[in-house]
Amino acid sequence: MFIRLVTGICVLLTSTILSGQDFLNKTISFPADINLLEDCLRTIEEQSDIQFSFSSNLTNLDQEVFIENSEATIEDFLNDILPFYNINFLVKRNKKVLLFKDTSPINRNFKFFGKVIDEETEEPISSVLVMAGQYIDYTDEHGYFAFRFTEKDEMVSSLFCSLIGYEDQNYLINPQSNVITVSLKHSNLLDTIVIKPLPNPRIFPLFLPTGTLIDVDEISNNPGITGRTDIIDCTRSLPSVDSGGEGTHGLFVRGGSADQNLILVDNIAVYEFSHVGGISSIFLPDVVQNANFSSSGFSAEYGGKLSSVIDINLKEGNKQKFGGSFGMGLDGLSTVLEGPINKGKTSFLFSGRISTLDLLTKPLISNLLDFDDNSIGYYDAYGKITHYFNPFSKISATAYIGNDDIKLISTDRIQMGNQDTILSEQNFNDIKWGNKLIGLNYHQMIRNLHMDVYANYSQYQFASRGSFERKLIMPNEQPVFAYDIFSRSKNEDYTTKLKFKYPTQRFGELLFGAEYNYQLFSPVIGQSNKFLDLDPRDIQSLSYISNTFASYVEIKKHLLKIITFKSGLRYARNYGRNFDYQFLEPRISISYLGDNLWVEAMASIMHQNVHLLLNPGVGLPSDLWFPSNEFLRPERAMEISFSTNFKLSDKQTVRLNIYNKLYENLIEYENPTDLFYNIVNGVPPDTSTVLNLEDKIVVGTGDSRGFELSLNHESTSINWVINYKLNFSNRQFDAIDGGEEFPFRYDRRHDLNTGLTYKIKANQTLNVNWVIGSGYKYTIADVEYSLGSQTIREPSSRNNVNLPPFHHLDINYNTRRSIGKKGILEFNIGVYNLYNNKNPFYAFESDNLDDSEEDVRIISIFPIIPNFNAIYKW
Amino acid sequence: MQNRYLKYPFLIVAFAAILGSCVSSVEIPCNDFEAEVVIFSVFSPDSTWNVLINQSKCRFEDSDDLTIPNVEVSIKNISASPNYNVNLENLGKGVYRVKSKAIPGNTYRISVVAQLNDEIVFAESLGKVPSVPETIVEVTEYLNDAGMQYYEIDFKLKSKEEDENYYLMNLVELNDQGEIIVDTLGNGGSNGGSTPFDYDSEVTFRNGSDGFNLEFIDKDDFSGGEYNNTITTPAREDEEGEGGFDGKRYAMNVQSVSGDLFQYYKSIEKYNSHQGPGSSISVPLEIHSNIKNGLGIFGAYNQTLHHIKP
Repeated sequence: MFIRLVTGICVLLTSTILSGQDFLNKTISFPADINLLEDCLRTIEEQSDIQFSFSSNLTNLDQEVFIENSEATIEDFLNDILPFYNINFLVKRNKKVLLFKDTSPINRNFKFFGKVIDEETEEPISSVLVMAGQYIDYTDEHGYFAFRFTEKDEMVSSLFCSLIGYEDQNYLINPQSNVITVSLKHSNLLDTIVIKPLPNPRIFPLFLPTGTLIDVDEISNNPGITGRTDIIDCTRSLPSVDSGGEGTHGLFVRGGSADQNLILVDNIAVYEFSHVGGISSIFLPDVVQNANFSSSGFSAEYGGKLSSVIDINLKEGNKQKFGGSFGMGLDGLSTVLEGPINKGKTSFLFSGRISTLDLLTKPLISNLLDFDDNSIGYYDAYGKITHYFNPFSKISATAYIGNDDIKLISTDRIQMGNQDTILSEQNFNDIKWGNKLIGLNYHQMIRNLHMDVYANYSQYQFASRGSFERKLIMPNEQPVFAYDIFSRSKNEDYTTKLKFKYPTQRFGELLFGAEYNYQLFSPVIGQSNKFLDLDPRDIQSLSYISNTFASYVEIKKHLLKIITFKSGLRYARNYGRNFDYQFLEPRISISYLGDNLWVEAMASIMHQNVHLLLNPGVGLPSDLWFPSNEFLRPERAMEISFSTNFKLSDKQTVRLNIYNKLYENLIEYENPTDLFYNIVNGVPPDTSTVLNLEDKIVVGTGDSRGFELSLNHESTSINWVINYKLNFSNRQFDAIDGGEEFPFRYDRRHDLNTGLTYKIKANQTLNVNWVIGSGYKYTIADVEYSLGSQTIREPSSRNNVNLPPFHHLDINYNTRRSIGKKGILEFNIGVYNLYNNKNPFYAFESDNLDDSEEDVRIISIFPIIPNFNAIYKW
Repeated sequence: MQNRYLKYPFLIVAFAAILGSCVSSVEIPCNDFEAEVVIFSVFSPDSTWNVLINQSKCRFEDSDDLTIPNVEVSIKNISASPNYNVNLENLGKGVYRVKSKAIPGNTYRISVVAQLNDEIVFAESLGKVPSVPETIVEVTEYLNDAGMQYYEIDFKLKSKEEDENYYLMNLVELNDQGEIIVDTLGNGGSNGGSTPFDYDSEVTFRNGSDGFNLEFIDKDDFSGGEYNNTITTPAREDEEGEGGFDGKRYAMNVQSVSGDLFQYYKSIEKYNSHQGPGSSISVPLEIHSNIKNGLGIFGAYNQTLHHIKP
């Protein structure tokens, strides 16, 4: 009897318990925007019969929470989430669950993620090093990072965050929340090394950063001509980039040409990001958050260019208070304004700059060159508005407009022997270029899936014109002789992109997406025997249309704790009328990271479907951009590179890169003379656009190989860097030089870039920079012979002569002082080209008819130049 | 006409002056320069056949004597059976004269052995004497809309597809003895003559060049069959004494040339138009050459004059 009673009670209790546990298996759907613990509990109550009750010692239900999956069972929620908050539970009868504070050790199988922002402006900061125990991560472009811990991991109680320009911070993890927001404070010191080539090799990284981070918030070790920090100058100090040439625009990376660099500003492609003579880039350093530069190992996300990728992120503006800056210097007058529109949620950032070169150049040109009407200048303006719907989603709009103009006009009156006859001559020369950019970006984080949608428009125009007119004024007005030669490139890109990033512990970081680019190109060359009343930019012409669709997928995964493997594949289709090209572009890299050694091997294939033809002569620049077509296939590059970095000591690191690059489908003018042949051979059409470029272009191959060595020293008071590069770049075209290989024009064989920064005091630094490099190649007629009565001078080969070496020494002093309560004055003064070396910009053969004085001469344009900049910030 | 105004380096000189820049000379070394054999011989069945042999030099060296000492030259007719060497007379200073006339349709090979740069150099080339095409010239007189008298000159070339089909054509003015005043390149010749038509004239060839310039007709224009060209010109001089047809003696000069000679003439014309190397427009030009292991040209032409009579 007694046994039956006990059995019955057990069955009853068991069934009660079992029936009481069944409701824990119910699946609950959590809304995407849910972010508080108490809201989660309320959601569970609404979707089930459960009622939660709370012990008196439980007071932390208003903590932030991160739900990984949109659906989870009640049991999973209780077992996975609550322990993170030191909450335990007891299931009671009638579907009641008691929650109470748990004092037992934390179940460490949990994940958390967070965001790093600027303490002052609340702007997200990307590429911040975040360490948690043995794991590290780098914040993405939106400032997010994520970690997942297992039971085997050691207890983690804090995070370590570090980024140059900010104070390192140890952040205590709030055990009540798995969502962390870390605010970093600007450091007061003027940090001097802005290039961050390596992660700390003592750290085992989850994801190695691609490329090199450039932080232009601080003073560069290569301030350039204007003395002010600039993206271009920062990038040129990198070992894989040429140190630059006199007044040259663009970047030349590992033997590539200037058009082969993918420049993204807030994910909008930019064709030209230099101002006049390469003085500065089109963006003020104050609006740039950071830039990432890659010369190899390209992510599958990038495509369309061959040499490098510069991914620039602009700031969003201070979300808390208004501020800005005014600046003046050699690069002009500038202003930056920023502030909240809706505090904490919506912010704006505006910058504008106008050059002041005319103040200096106008009187000089008028007096020395008799160009009585002249102007040299530029302006740029940028605006951005960002709105956060919540911490996980935002939308931003970016707009930019800028223009450069160089105009030289001379008008002369010539009185003939007969006093009644007067001739007038006008010489008109004009070059203009400019960008217009508009971009829209929506970012959403769904669980831990990052999604970005982009819609961009980019327009670039380049126009050049050289004209001459002679006419009789007296006794009556009539034309005598005239010519007008002009060229124009107008490029328009309409682009949409969709990008996803999904970090997982098992597969590493998964990156995938797609993009579509609709491009219009309107290149024009015109010539006339009359002086035309027109602006080349207004000429209507046929447009070449090119469509590009691309999709990609990429995985970054750890194979072992010290090996990282990144593999990606990009599919691209470039098509238009009468042509359709499709490519697969594999990208692969593998890295080993030891205690003091980092080794990486990379391989990639890239294609470029836009071509730039440069006139190698100087008198009539004619940049012509046009897309691939049925006659011209996209250019192609295959690169293999090997990189090793190791620490000599706590203060010194060494980096060595070796690379080999092969090019196909490169283009050159067979003979640029044909472009304007009609002008010099009689009567050209009145107005015409001559553009049968396929008849004037030849297709060939190229190669580039070399190695780069970088030594870096960082200490409390002195930092120095030495970059050396050895490069061999050649081209081969069947129709040029009899098919023999010849050196690429921008084959800079040796390039040495050194920089030293001395911290005089906490807010004062002195920079000394010296660069030297082999001169670029040039084609000179060095052979002379006779054919009957005619003497012929011609080049023995293409690019047969080296210009003299390019070198200059720069010195720059920087200081920063507080003005009043909120203002800061930054002031720098320096000298570019201290010993006044006459670096060659262009070589030409002298015009003397007397053979005995014939020689080759070079033009230099930047002698010793003092510079100063003053910027007031508040 | 040579246009020197295109040499303005507008942007660059401006920058140079702006900031007190300067122009400095660059020394171009000649250390690694290697001289090459230069052969120049343009011959036809109707003219004296001369051959010039010299060497190239580094342009920045001062040396005037380009003669190659100890050079051996031979020209062989390789179309004849058996092949034979033509007789060459050495006139000194690198000038040789062929004692016989070139034969239309025959191919000749020139071989030069010389010692240059402490090495023995072998240079050679081939040149075939082309045949002349049948040419028909017809002149028609008409009045334009303004009532001015014009001549329309229509001419046809008839050739066979198997011919090389490279031709040079231009209007030439003749003196009273029937000699060409202007040479085949459209320049004033040693006779001191002027171009037959002013550049303002309305004489234009189908391919766009005007009367005093060479019209280049190559295989792309026609490959055998008939090639038609029509030019119009005012009949009489205008008030300023320019243009006009009456009272002068003109002929259509048709040269049938070898392919290499055709390319050579084209490159020479461009070279002269841009004042040679160092033009502000482009890189220095190269002159077409068909000399293996050397520079220069070895080419033949066959020329006919077709008098134009209204």
